[in-house]
Amino acid sequence: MKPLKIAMMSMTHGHTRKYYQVLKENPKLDWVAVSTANDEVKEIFLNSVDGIPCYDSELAMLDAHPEIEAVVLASENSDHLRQMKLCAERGIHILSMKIPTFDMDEYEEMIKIVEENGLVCQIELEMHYNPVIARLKELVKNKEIGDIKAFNATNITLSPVWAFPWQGVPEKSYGKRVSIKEGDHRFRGGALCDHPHIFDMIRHMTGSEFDTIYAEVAPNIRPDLEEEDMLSVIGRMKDGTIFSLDPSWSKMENRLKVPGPGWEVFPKRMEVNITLHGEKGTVMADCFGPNVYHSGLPNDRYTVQYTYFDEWVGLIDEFVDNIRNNKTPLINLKWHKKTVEAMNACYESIATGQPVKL
Amino acid sequence: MNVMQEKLAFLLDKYSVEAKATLLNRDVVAVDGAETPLLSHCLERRFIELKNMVLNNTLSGVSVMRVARIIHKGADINVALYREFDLCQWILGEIICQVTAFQNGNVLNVIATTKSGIVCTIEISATLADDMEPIDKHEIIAEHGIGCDVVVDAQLKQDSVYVFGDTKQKFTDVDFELYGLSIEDIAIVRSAFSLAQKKNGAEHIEADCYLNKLVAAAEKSAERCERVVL
Repeated sequence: MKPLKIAMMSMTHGHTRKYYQVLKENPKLDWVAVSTANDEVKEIFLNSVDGIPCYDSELAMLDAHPEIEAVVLASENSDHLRQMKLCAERGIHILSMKIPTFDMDEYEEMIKIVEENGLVCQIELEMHYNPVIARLKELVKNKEIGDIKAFNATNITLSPVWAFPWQGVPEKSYGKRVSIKEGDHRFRGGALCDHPHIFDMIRHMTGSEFDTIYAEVAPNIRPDLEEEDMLSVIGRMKDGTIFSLDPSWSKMENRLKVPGPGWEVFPKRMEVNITLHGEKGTVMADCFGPNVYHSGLPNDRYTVQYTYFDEWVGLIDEFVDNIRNNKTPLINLKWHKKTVEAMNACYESIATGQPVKL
Repeated sequence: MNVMQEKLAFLLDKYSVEAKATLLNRDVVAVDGAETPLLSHCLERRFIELKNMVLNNTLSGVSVMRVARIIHKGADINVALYREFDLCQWILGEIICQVTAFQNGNVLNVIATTKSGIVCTIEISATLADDMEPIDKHEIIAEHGIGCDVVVDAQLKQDSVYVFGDTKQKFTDVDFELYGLSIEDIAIVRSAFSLAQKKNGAEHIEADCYLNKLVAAAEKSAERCERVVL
């Protein structure tokens, strides 16, 4: 199979660096170029990767490399529609970050652009390429604990806003400045916008859609943020399954400009745990482990050192297969729309103080 | 119950407590004839320490308390909810004033908010086989620090002693004076002793009354699909 000629745009997204290794090592890919959104991310990229042409503008990159077949939109949420249009005009396939947009009119426009131009647009929800998730899906399919009665999950991390400042700006993260609730100084766009995975996974595992959602925002553990960093979500799926989801930034971080060793204040920087309660029992899963531990440099502080972060390998394999074999991505724009709608319902519930029926 | 009553008598005698205390069951003690709810779970040492972390500001600026408890099939999830409501209020030192709940048979998820706005998430399920011990986790997330009764990067608690002989055994011994009792039995004896010593049964009766209101609010919320404000 001919290697897919791929490029990256912006390089401002927190997941940008996850692609460095896979884009260089995957034999199905030919990494052609990148364009950077600003000097800061350009410097970080040039210090991290050798031998890939780096452009200051998207247009300059696209004009210089008409051979580009696909682009990873490694950008802030507010840039996605504009960049999708740029790609669509040239027939370039798209790998979008996990939130294409929270604006449902924009979302419809994205669907239209992709369909009209016959493009593959895959959404980056990398948990589907995690081996623990694969095991969970198998256990659910085999009805190991019978029909699912509850899906409880955490998708909790440190806050990335110090390294990826756009995530702390409501207009760039949520798309506009909307008060989180009356009398509260905070705006939409924080931790919830960073953590769609568990909202997506419950739909896959139950085969059902959201029926009712209730969400509550808690006091920020980072009072200087203007977005929410702590929230809790409960509710019910249409098949009766109840859920409890925690998409918070509840792990405290050192405020590094570039993620790396010493980012954590709390020893564990990230957790995706899923507990399924079924008619015949319970399954508890930690999607990232077992791990190793150290108390070494740079802070001599007890730290969880993860041993597995290879989700992007499977994700890129699927992306290439979708393009070369004209397949629809598992996580495509239409599928993902209901996940984004559920996340918007969380904000609506926080604002109204009542459960929201979808 | 006899062993616990004996241990209680031992403590009453050792510390010269004159009140007469009789354990009527695992939930109620009679102190000089007055029946009082034990609320014994609060006297598990892990919860005393979590409360201390909040009280002495080790965990400063509490935002969220997350609780999960899995009990055996057939057990009453509302009894478990009562316990966890009590623990949240006792550890945080605040009254819960808003409750939203979703129930699906023997599983229940609740978001409760305290007067100062701390959000408590409580996940209860009755899905374990009869021979399994309850599984639970209590986590407090604050501006300065996280406190938890499960070690970082683990899903289950550790035990103190593991025996790998002809059969596997494990022990968790947490009280030298009451050596031999389980953690739950120790808490029952300690709670009965405390009530006999401090004669603060009225506080327990008041707490029990409010906890029953909270459980009723959760039932109402689950039934009507609405947030209930107390």
